[in-house]
Amino acid sequence: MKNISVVLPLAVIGFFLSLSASWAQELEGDVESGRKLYSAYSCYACHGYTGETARVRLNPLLFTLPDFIDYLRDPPEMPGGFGMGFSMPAYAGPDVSEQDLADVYAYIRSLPSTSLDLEDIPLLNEE
Amino acid sequence: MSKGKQRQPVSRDNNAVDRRNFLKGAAVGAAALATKPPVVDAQQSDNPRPSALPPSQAELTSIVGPSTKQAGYHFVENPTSDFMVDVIKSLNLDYITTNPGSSFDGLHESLINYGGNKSPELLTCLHEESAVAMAHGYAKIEGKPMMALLHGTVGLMHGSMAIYNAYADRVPVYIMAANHYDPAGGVNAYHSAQDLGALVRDFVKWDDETLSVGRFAQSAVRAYKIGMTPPMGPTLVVIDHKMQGEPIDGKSMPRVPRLTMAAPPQGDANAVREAARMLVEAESPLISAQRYARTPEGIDLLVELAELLQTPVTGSERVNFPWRHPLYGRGGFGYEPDVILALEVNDMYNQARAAQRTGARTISISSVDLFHGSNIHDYGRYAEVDLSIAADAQATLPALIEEVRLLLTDGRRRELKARGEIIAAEHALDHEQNRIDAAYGWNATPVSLARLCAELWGQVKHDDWSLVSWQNFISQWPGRLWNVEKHYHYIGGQGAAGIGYNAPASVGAALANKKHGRLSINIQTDGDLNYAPGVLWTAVHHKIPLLTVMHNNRAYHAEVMFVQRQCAERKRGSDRAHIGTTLRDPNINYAKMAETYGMYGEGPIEDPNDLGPALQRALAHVRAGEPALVDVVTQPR
Repeated sequence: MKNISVVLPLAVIGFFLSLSASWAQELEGDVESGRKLYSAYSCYACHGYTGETARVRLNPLLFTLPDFIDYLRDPPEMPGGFGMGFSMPAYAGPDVSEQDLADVYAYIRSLPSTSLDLEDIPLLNEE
Repeated sequence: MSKGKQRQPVSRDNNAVDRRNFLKGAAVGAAALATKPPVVDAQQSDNPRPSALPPSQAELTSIVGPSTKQAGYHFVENPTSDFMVDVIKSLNLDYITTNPGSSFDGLHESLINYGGNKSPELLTCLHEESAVAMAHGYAKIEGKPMMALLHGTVGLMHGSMAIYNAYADRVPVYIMAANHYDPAGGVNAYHSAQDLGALVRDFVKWDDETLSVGRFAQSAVRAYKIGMTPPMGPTLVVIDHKMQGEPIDGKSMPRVPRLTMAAPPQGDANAVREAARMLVEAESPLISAQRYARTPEGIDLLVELAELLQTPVTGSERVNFPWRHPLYGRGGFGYEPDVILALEVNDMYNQARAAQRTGARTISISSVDLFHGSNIHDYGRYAEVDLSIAADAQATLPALIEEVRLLLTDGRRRELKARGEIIAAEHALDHEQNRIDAAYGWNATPVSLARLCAELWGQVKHDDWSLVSWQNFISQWPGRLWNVEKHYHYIGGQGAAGIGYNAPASVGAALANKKHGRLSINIQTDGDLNYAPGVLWTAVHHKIPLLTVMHNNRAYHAEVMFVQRQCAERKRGSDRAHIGTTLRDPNINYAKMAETYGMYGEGPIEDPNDLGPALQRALAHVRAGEPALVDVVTQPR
């Protein structure tokens, strides 16, 4: 089953990914630092503590690191109801370094999945 | 009625207690008490003595005022407040929520003694905001007001936020507030106002000051009628403290006015005919319903209209339409409406603006056009709709349905049927997508909201259930997973987005559900409960069965996101959005909070595998007639 709620934002994201830089590929992320920053930057607020429990899921993370950094520096607007768009907050200030974002990236990539397949959840297969 | 005889309360049924003899006995007993307090010489009052001994005269005076010897005790027969009870009883009110106050002590006494504390029965609340919000939730289930009795000025101020929520939600709450018009007497000066209603006049539909008993009788009945006439809303009757205690005899006592309800206003016939034409000719119409269905019949009417037109119906503010109906939703991906019919949509600005961009036309049927306050802008920006019908939408639907029937040819019906099949297929896709989405993070810790709602649904779906809390802070998971089809399955939210509504409103709604034997469920946000958690005690004290499941994300979570966005826009402090927005350090233990108020409590639950059994244990208490609470530590949203 296609996941419309995810496919649509990703289509928008795709355009911006083509603009991404390549220099960030050299950064090495620190998972423990990223764990703290994921909380401190309130990433959990929209994406959940495991990156799986909101409409825009991060887990598994499909971005490359350069694309990830580009996206957070200047997030695109996504379409919303009645023509009202929205976007995630930008992490573009001097208090957020590329290394910080690389750490967050490494942390998200380290997260195990807590999801199950639909057919393995009896509660979701009963009417 | 001759002086010296106690009147009997007006009763709506034959089971009324004959209070004549009881009150006679009570009067004798009270007289005996009043004349018997042991008089102790003032000088003896300073001597240490066991606390079991009676208080000294000085102590008595400080607590209850001058003794009979000092001032001569004043007895009252047939106080005006007894007649006020007669008027209140004539309004068929089942309950009065209140937090006690000296400004209505006379009416309070009449309600519990003369009125027998029955129809209406007093409910003890620990905060006036809870008293009003309970009445708000009750009305949304029962379809009629509950009365909130408030102590002016302070009680009315405490209750004002909840009054505003009810106003914005177009819900009738019958408020009586008492005033010490005479500011004499120390503390009473602070409870005295020249125009008490002015404190909340911007967000009640109507209010009146009643300084005479005749005026009270008329205004009390009028307040009910105005509150229940669409657009509905809270109304306020201000009563004088002194008047409650004045004796009233047969000559000065007015009769209880007869209540005649107003028929809700229907739309202009020509405008309704034009709306029908636009809808039948539309290629992709959409019905958007907000505070539309006032009664279960409203749901049936909307189903009839939608099926005639084979048009999707959107809106989840209340249950206007069954949420599993194949036509429920926005028509699916790519469905661009060319005509939008808005039913009791409070703020049409965004829809009208979006429609203008695409060339779509908009029709609004709303009673709110018949009543606007001035100061509060709850109606939003001015909306440029194409056809505006100032009327009650539910009352107008029968005529609209009839006009649509007249215009539908067999050929058009066949075309619409094909459209409906596409919409139904999209609806089925949406339902499937919701189940897929719910599987993500199924085993996450803290517990995902989808898991919480799925576990809950698994245990209540065979009950006659009622979700009495707002679902927007829980990512609409009940609406995405549960079979919401009856008016009491979901009653929406605060109205004015004023936090502190949910906990008390759910208790009020659960009280309304109790007599119907329904299982009431409250998925309770932590920030909201902390405004006035004493309502948990009220639920226990009055034996109101209600399952409260905490959505404990340890934050005012929407504000975390708002502040985070500000940090982002200003490019500073991206790691500081938790300051002033989170409820950590220490974490609040809601199970212990419930237990403190005498309620069964369990938790905090962090492992999702512990949730099902915990809900089962709590539900056993609720099904036995008690409230219970399960504290679940949850994902943010």
